Amino acid sequence: MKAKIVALAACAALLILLPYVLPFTHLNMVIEIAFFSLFAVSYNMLFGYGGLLSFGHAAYFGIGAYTVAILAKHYAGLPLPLTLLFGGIASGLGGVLAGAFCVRLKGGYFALLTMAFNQFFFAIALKSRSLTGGDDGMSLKRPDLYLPGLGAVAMNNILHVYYLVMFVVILCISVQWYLSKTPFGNSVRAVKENDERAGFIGYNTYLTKVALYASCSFFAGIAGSLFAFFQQFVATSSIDAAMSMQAVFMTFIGGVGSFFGPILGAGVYLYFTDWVSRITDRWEFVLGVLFVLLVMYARTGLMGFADIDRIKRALSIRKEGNR
Amino acid sequence: MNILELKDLYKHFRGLQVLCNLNLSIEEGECHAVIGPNGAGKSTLFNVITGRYRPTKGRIYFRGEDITGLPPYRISRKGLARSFQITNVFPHMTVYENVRNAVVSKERLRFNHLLRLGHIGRVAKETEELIERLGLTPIRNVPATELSYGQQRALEVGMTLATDPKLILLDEPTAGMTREQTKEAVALIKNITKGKTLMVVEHDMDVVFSMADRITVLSYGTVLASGPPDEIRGNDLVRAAYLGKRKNAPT
Repeated sequence: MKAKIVALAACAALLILLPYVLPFTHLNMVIEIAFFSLFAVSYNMLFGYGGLLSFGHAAYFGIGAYTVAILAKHYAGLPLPLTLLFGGIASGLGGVLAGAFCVRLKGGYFALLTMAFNQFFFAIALKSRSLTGGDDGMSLKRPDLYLPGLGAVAMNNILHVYYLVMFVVILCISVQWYLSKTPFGNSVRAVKENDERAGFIGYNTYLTKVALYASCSFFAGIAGSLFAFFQQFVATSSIDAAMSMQAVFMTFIGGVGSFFGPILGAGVYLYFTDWVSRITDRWEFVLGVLFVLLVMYARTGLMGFADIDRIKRALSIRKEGNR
Repeated sequence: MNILELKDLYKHFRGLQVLCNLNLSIEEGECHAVIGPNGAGKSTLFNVITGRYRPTKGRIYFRGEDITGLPPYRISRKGLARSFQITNVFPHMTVYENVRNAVVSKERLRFNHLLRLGHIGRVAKETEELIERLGLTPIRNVPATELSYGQQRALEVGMTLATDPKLILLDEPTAGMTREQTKEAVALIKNITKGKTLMVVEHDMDVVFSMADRITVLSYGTVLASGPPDEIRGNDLVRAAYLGKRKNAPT
């Protein structure tokens, strides 16, 4: 218990001091890693914990991003925390709407339907030019944050952006971590393991899945909100299929089903793509090959490498197999 | 008072008639065995009662309340639990977690977003007690897939009990067991279901006659005979159904 507190305090200190150590270009990267971590963690809650393989998670990232952009443009007086929260709520509602249909299906059919809903929301973003700017995208001005007692905190200062994004991301990830420990989190696991039996001992499997889908959409929406807030620009690339794949990538790289894996995955993914794209234009090709290798040989992702017991077990099985 | 009442129950599968004009009542507190040749509709009957299938016609009353066509989770919440012929548990969860899933459901905590599951004292206590009674304490932290067949069956029945049901339906609780295992299983079931109402489908006649207060014989989806064990043992119709004699053959 004491060791845990020390470790947490060390992490907090590191995150607080990080902007003073890192050059500013890297700080931008760290902010990006932060909100994509939240996106990946929310995806992992859906897929890793709930067993719902979605190929359309970007829909909710995008809804959050567009909501914030539209609010910042037309309702500039709205307090910043509310603006960000509304981004999440809009996504959550979108999640309830799509989830109510999607979770009736299983496996591949579920994945296809989430993809269809992703395309549906994508098409709305693309075609509602007057509201979203269509494929030109829309820019916004970062609203300032008013804190009681402190007054306005200027958000053109990247340092302030960093602290705000970090605060929101850590808050949201903590809430999800806590949720995974509650009876509801357990119900999600039970429904994933055996939804038939769960039903016969009294679990409403449908409602459990819809609730999970909606809550994961909410957190993806918060990630999208932070994305729009940070970039000050939202285009259809925030809600397209490639963005959905990004969530899948990050989660797989980090490790499906391990809570902190996707955070690591987001970091590695963003640094890796940044590095590869400096070497070659064909960075997506490199990424594709990497993904194939991951799925074939390292399905547990990077966190799987960290799991010593699992490696030992895998080795012993192989030895027995050779005999 | 009858805890379960089946009225004129029919179930067709695309023209195949599996249950046909079935009437049956289960009394509170009894152990009621359902027997019958293969294909008589025993499993279908269980599936219709517990909501897996919707009956084509007819009504099901549980404690006086019409439960026909309700989904399984609603029926389970009303206090009617079942076990499965083919072990149906949460394979990658431990014995403890399996039983706890049922206890959480019974405590109506399924949707709780606020508490930490590991910190809810009464859930932990109840789960431990039940595991103790099931004799599974030594293997409480073993995942369900790694259990022996007998242990899996015990877990299967244990989860059914953990929701504290008013009526328990056991679908072939000793299927695939050796003589020794069957004896142990019957002793365990008798012990942990004391005072509960039971409805059991079973092929093993020793088990049936040692447990049941009343026996119902199904044949071709309808009730052939129903009564206390001695009466069933001497019933000609039952012998005919099992031994293949003509119904009106002279004895």
